[in-house]
Amino acid sequence: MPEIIDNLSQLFAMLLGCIFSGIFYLKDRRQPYFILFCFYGCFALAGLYWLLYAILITDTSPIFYVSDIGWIAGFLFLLLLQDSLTLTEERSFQCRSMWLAPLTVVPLTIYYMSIGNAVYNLVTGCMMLLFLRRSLRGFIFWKQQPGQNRKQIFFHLTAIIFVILENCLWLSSYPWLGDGWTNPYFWIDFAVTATLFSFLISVKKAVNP
Amino acid sequence: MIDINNVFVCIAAPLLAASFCLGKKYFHPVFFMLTGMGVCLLSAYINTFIAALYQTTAFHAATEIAPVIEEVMKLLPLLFYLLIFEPEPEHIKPSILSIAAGFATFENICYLVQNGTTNFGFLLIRGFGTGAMHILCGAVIGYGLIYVWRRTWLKLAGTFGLLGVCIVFHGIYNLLIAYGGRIQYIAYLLPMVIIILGISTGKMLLPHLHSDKY
Repeated sequence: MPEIIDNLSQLFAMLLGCIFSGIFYLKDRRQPYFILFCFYGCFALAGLYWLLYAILITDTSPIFYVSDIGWIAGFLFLLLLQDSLTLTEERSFQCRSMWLAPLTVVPLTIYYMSIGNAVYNLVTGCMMLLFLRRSLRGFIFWKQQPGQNRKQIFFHLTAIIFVILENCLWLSSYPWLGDGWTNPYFWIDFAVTATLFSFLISVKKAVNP
Repeated sequence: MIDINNVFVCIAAPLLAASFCLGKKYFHPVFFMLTGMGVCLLSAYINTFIAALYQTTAFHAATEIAPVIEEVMKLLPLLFYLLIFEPEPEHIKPSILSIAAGFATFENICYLVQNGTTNFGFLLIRGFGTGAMHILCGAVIGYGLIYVWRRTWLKLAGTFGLLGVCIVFHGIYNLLIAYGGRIQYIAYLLPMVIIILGISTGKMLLPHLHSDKY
């Protein structure tokens, strides 16, 4: 039951994000909203497949889950969104904190690959590495900017929190601690859902001056 | 045993002959439709091969292998067309829709060959459902590619993203159908409802839309 509630809440949040980003895109015609719409759409469809599979089939897939492709596409749109919000001077900015990304993501990816689907975890790991690296760079860059012009710092902060929570979620999924509410997996997934939805607010802050 | 290659030849030959006689204007849609049929035939072979390779059941082949193979195979001729011929944006949408229509037609033929033609009511719903699903996926790819291929940095990631959306939607459709019972009728109705909603929303919104700010 907690799994169904968890998946349903994530699906609902993604659909809501999809609708709102679509409305914002139609109103303002800003490209980041279109990419955000695609990101939420991918995640919502992948979530729907996952939910239907969990309800109708119950046993694990012998090959792979189609929803994995949806999540990879979603991460890809998230990377594109990050790229579309990055300024030229931000791209050339260098800081030591950026090394935190490979230091944390690489060992975790090797661990995920050893216990799960190697190809999926490798692809996701590479995207997470790139995403975290750029988020750390963006966060430090905007933190150093003088005055109140720090509109994109929230986006990068949300991105960093998302990567941390997503990794906590994957770590808590193995070994599986049962289907009850005592399993921290569900609570972390609720936090992931909240972070995913908060991308909408942070992108709105970054896009609108 | 019916050889599906022979069925394909019987359908393709008169259409191909007609397309040469109809002139350049009608050649493209007929040719793309035939391409869609050919791609459907190839997909069936690849699906069977991969299902045998993984030694999986028909259910898992339909819900996990078929959506990936079919959507990738449908996209390949379009990508070839885009990269080699570099068509105008207005030619992209009819091309993918023709491929999708050809694919859905041949898939229905394969279904008839395997399952017979007795249940008219079910075949009518199934025909519209499958057709609408492939057309919907084609429309997503077609409209999406027009948007993403205008921007160099969005091309690769955007194309993969759109492909991902289509694969997952196709996966949901196949999952509901493979489950059977009343649930499969939801799957048949879903793409038709989305197409109707999409057309009506598009008609309402398109006159009010302007170009992107950045």
